[in-house]
Amino acid sequence: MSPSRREEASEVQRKPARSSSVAWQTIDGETVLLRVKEKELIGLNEVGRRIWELSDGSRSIGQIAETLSAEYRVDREAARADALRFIRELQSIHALDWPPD
Amino acid sequence: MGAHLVRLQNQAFEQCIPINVSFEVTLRCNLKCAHCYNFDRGLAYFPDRSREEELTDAEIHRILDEIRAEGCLFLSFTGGEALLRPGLTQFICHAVEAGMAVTIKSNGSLLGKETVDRIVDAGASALDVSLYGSEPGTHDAFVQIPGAFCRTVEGARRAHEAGVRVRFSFLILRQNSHQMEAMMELAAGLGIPYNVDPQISTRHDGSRSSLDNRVDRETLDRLFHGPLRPLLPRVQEGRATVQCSCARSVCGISAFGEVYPCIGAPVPSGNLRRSPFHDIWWNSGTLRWIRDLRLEDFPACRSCTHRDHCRRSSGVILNNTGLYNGPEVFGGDWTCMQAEVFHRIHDETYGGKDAPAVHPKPPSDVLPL
Repeated sequence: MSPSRREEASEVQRKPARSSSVAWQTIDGETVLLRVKEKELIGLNEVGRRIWELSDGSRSIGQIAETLSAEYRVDREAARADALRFIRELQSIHALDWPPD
Repeated sequence: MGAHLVRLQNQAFEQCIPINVSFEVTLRCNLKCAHCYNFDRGLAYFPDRSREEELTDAEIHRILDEIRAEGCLFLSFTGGEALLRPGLTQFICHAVEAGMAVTIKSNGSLLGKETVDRIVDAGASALDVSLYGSEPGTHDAFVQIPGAFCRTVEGARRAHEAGVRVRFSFLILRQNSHQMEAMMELAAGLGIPYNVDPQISTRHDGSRSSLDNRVDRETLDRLFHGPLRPLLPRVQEGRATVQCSCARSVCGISAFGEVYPCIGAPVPSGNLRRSPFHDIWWNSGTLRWIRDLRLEDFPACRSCTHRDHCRRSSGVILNNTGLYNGPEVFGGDWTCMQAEVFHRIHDETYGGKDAPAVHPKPPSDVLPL
């Protein structure tokens, strides 16, 4: 296994949790995240909303990807790649944290 | 406020989603502000009510879940003095965990280090602090507690340094009108933004002496020709309504569980001890009546030439005139005089054009943060 694949395999074991620095609400079927300090609003699409809901600190990225794969009937690898990309993006703006195990 | 937030607020207004909720967690207060809209602070408590009637912790936690389910995103804990409520930290934790952005409205005098650490850890993101003067003499005389000014300013500074977004609320009063500039300088020196509000209301206990603190027309005129000129309210051209966001995107909950169209408009619309929030919000005849109000339902406002400059608050008008859709005639409330002054100064200053953008923004009921 290449170093990057090893890193990814380790990353999918992590359990993302919604950060308290972000408020959120679902209005008329659309989920919006509010970065409170920045007063920035971010809209999520349906899959993004589902990942956000599942990111409660109890599920690993791998488990979230499994759920997406089953619910949206998409290939496991594609679901994993999408979940990883989305979670990394939210983690980079501190909307998701990695709580201690 | 960013374009996305404006759009979200507009969507909530159109669809009647209570995205902004003010939750009164106690009526107790450690100060005795002369203008307090709750009740005459010379009394021990609200007439004919007792502290024991205030919502219990368990009831507040239940209501937090109910308003969240109905769409609340911006939650303000208010009072009385919200920091006097023993369970406040748990309420903040609960609200933040559920996904709400929490603001605390406070007189700031109880913001010691331990309290600031506690509310920061709980996740409160913003703090609105009321300040009534630029120095201890004026502020302390107004709130009738010696030493309050220093504790409030120090508390605001401490919270600001701890990363909470602090904002001062300045009320224009007969007692502090000569200190407005100094108050603005004080805030600027601390790096804390502020709102300036000229509105004073009668009290929810029916007493009216709070109005004695209002400035007269000449003072208002002088202030907005002078230091407050950059804060002239933005012109709202061609307003199709004078109705604020009450009962649409805004809602108030009293310390006794009453649902109000807004915390400043004490129109009983249902009690959360008897009915769930969802049922009251959608079925209350009062709230539905308010939502259906059109411009023609406001007798003095429908043909008023100062409408685009008016900062009308239905709560203030209700308390002062007894009519939610009042006043009956132009001049029936101080708000009318204020709109006339704003209109005249605006036209003198900008020749009928809109004012340039300024910082800080003028007060607005769609600025929950």
